[in-house]
Amino acid sequence: MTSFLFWNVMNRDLRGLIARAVVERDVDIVLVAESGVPDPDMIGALFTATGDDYAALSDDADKVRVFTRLPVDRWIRRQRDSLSDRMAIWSVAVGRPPGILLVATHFVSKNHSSSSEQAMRAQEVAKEINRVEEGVGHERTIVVGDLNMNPFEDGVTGGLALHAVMTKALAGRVERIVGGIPRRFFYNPMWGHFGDRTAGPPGTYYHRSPADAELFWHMFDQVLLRPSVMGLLHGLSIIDSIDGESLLTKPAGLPRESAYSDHLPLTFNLTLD
Amino acid sequence: MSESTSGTEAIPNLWPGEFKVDVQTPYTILRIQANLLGKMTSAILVGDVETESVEKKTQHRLVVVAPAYHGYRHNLVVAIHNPDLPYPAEVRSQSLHARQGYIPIPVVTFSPDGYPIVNSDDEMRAVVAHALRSDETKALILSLIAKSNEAMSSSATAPQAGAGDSG
Repeated sequence: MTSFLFWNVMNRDLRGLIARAVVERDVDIVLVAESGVPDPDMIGALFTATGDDYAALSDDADKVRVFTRLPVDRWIRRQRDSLSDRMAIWSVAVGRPPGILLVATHFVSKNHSSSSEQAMRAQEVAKEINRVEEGVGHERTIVVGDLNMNPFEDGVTGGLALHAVMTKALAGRVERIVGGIPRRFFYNPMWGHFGDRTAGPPGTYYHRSPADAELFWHMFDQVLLRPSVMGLLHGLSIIDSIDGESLLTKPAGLPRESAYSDHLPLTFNLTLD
Repeated sequence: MSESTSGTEAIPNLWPGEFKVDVQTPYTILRIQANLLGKMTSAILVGDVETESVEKKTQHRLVVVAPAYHGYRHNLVVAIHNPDLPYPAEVRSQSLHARQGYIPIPVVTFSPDGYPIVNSDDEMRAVVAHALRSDETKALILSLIAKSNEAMSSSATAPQAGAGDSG
């Protein structure tokens, strides 16, 4: 079992809280967007809390910082975008060969780009993933990050973009022809976490605006899995408390942005052994 | 008829001199540079151009690929324009950002993201040349050649350690 934690911490220094979450959930791979502390400080906090050596894998400019207690020589960087630093693709030799491809991403926010620009960026990410999959010869791929789009938006669902669908049955078709070309699916389990009829918070991010149509709760933070690894997913949840400390306001139940972040963390496990 | 003729003679040619007819698109310019990279590095590195489109924008990315170094891919230059009109085009590369200062075209307009907008293939070639000849690009290319050489020599002497896929 390999465990993951992702959190957009809104440039806050939440190293202590992240470390407590790592202890609580025995996390192997920690991904932090908008990190508020230098990597060495994060590593120090993780070591203090767990006694384990975590390594920082990210380049200086990477938007998503990656920390792991898996041996560093099991990681190979496959892709880099020096223009935006919003995506990184690694091969990770974990579990049975050939391991996995891990894509860490933080898409540009809606405050700085239009929906069509986000969709174009999603096409770019999807194409880079496809190219890397072709290069390594497998499709055991997991995408984790703050997509700044909901699961139903074009950049996530589009056949030319991430092509992520809401059920395993749909994703299990593996691919469909779009524009004359076979396009592989991702499974997007985040669909099952919307609203108040499932366990956990209604989304990962709360936003209130005066717009006519406002969802309030959004599911910007997501994990997407190729069909070949979707059956390995367990324990996906949106975290609303860490070590007894609530990340939500009372009684409204909204993210405690003033103390922590406007995003809530995600955690999940993959049975890779 | 004579009025019309004299009227025509009275109106000067208002077009901007002669138009060149051998104009190249941003895609063509990037494609040529991509092909040249393989020749210049004995195919240790190869270039590729990837294109993505949405309703109002098309982007072409010049990607450097290091086949021997785990197939590593690096976005180097991106040109963005209207799908029907290749100019004006916004050209993005590390060395072209406004904060870097010098841009080698006479009149520079920057996009909201801080990258130059070119209005012709001459300008496109000038800014792409600036990006490709920049210190950042030279360092990147040399780094990837070095890492590729290292990977090729180690794979020739020992089984590959680390991530277990075939790339």
